[in-house]
Amino acid sequence: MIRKTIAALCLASLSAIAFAQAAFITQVDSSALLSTQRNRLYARVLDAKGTAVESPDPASIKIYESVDGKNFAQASGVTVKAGSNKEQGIAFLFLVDNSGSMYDTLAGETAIDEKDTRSYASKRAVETFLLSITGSQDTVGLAAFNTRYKLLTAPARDRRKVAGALDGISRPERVEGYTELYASLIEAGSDMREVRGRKALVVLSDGVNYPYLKYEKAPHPEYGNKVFTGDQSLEEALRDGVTIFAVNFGKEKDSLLADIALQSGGEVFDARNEAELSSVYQSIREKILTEALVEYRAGMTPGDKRYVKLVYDEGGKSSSSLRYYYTGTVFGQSGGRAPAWIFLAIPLALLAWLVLSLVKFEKPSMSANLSLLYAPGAGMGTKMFNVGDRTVIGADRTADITIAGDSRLEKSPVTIVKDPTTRRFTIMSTDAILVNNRKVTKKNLEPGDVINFNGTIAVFDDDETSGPAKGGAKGRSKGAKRGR
Amino acid sequence: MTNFVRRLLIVVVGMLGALLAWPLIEACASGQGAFPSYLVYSVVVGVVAGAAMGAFFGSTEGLLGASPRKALVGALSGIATGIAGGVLGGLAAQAILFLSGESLMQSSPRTLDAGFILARAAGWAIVGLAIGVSEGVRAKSAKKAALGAIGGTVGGFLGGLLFVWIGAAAPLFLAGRLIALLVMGGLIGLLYCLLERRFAVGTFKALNGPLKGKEYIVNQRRLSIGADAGRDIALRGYRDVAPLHASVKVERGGKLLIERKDGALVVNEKDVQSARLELDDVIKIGSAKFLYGYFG
Repeated sequence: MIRKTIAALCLASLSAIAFAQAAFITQVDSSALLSTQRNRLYARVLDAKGTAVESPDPASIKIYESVDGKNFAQASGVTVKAGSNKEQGIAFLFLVDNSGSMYDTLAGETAIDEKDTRSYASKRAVETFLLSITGSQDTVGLAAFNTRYKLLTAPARDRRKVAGALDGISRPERVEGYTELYASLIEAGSDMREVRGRKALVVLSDGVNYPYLKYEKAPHPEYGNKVFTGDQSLEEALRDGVTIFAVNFGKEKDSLLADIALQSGGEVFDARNEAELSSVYQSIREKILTEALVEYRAGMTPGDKRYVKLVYDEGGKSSSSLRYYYTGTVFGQSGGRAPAWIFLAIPLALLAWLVLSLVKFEKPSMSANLSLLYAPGAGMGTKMFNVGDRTVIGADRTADITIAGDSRLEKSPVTIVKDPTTRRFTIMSTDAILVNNRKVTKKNLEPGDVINFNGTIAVFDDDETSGPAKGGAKGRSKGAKRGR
Repeated sequence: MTNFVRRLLIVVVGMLGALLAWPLIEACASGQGAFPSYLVYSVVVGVVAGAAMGAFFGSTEGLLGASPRKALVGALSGIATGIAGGVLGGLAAQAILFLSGESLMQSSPRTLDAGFILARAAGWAIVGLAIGVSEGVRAKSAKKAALGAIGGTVGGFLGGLLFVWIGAAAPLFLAGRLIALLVMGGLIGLLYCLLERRFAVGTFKALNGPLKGKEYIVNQRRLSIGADAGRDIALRGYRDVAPLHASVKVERGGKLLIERKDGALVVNEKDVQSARLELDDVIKIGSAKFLYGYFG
């Protein structure tokens, strides 16, 4: 469905190109949408004779936008710039077939002299093209493909790199001589992804897609058992904003290559020798140079997909071209006008915050207590025991607080005693114990003192608001026993 | 305060920030056509989301410490850093969404395809990341920023996935964005508190007084302790605590150096000017006592 739609758009435009005045959006560049709110369209406009109009009258071009493809609104701020591709330059990537058959003669026979081969002719044609664009802003890159795809040099202003890379293209071994056309188109498109501006992938091939996996009957050395299709090649080109221009250099033609080129906004050419090839390359560049850059102020209508229609009116005749681009926003669009009640969420959130700010999550102790912080084997804990006038901490169940299995507490229980006069609590033990990491046998306890019963860590606390130590639970603390 | 309550509170705070942001984002979305450009729209939405969530996350320490003043100050500074994070995150997310969306659109215009779903979720993740990091910037803590980044990225991504899913399942359901925002805010908080101890160099646990049980997880290079409400460990309701009583510095290797400032400092029953803390050390500041260690 997707392909059919794109194909319909392209073919409609191309049929128009063939017979009458036409306008064709070759590339949508929305990269400046966020920063400037302006959208760019590369457009090719032809007059009634089919001749490219390099400087179309801005008044003859109108831009419309729509979120549904039906209801269009005219866009404002339309500017038309002729020769922008000349000014900005075109990024070319030549994708040259280097399969075994490229070392045959132009007539398809075994070559005796290298200069008679298709490969030699294709290299010289690229060299001629390089010489022809001297002084332009164009960037040129080179890639070769056979069984494998190899980017020899990425599009750059320094054309000597391309010339040098051409010399590096040599006859492949038999197993390297397959024609992985679709896979290579995908890889080349991917290599042009980061390139800005007008991008043209010029692929030259003398045959059909002839994959290693199918004909060698073995997994591809790089792609394994992966099968590439023409659809994938087209999708990659569209995704990367690349226009494919296909050049058939031989009698055999891939059945899908022409479709791929047309649907990407490009064209397909046939060439039989070096001279024709050079001429085709020039023709591709000239066609792109005749494109106009149409800029306009994009609308803000919500929606993920925005249709853009370029209408060219000249001499009472009208022609148009339709494309679309992405306009989704991070938090998405709204289903309609926001109802007033949703604003109740604001006072609700603030009220909840106020309540939280007034809640006291920590409370000081109101009576003397010993809280267990950590016990070996039991881990962290929050168990709290009241501490009375005399509280015995031992290893058996007769103690007020039992820490089972502690051999030292079995021999020497620890006692916490409250002085009824000073209301202070004192910890006592026959054997030294650690209080605040200091060995003691007797110590007046303060709130926050940390007592280490041979690895079991407890914290003593008391009510600090009513002066020196207030009495805890009367008599022996109840329910404070804890085994482990 | 138990660990569970602490975590619950942080999650609730994140969700409240989302609740505050929701109607404002909803208003922006429904009025998108009135904005002059995507740039202004992205900035405004970023301001709204960042300010609302930044305010609530910024106030967390104050809320945990039951200090309304500290919560308010934290909220105000959280608004400032949240706005900065929200704007940067909003713009970056929108730029990336436009870029990836346009690539995907040209090859497959079905906006419910996996690529679009992931692109939108990635946009939410970037906004979440920026908001999460802004809380670390506010607290001047690289570790908090890292924790916020993890929580924000994961929370934002899952919130974004949920938003797209709800939008596809029930396009007219108004609360879809609210639910997604609540998930994002809640997960930022949850992942933060689930990870904070893992990244921490230790914890000071209050052993007595009004803050008894409260844990101060050390995730920043410096901590100030004192009676002033603005201190990292603000000791209100304790005797003999100076406004700036002591400070803690995390040294190379993760050791903590505690230094006396304007009040007496006792470590393990010994008066000190400064001390390198070991696990299970007991620190006395005024009448407040802390145990240094790992808890959890």
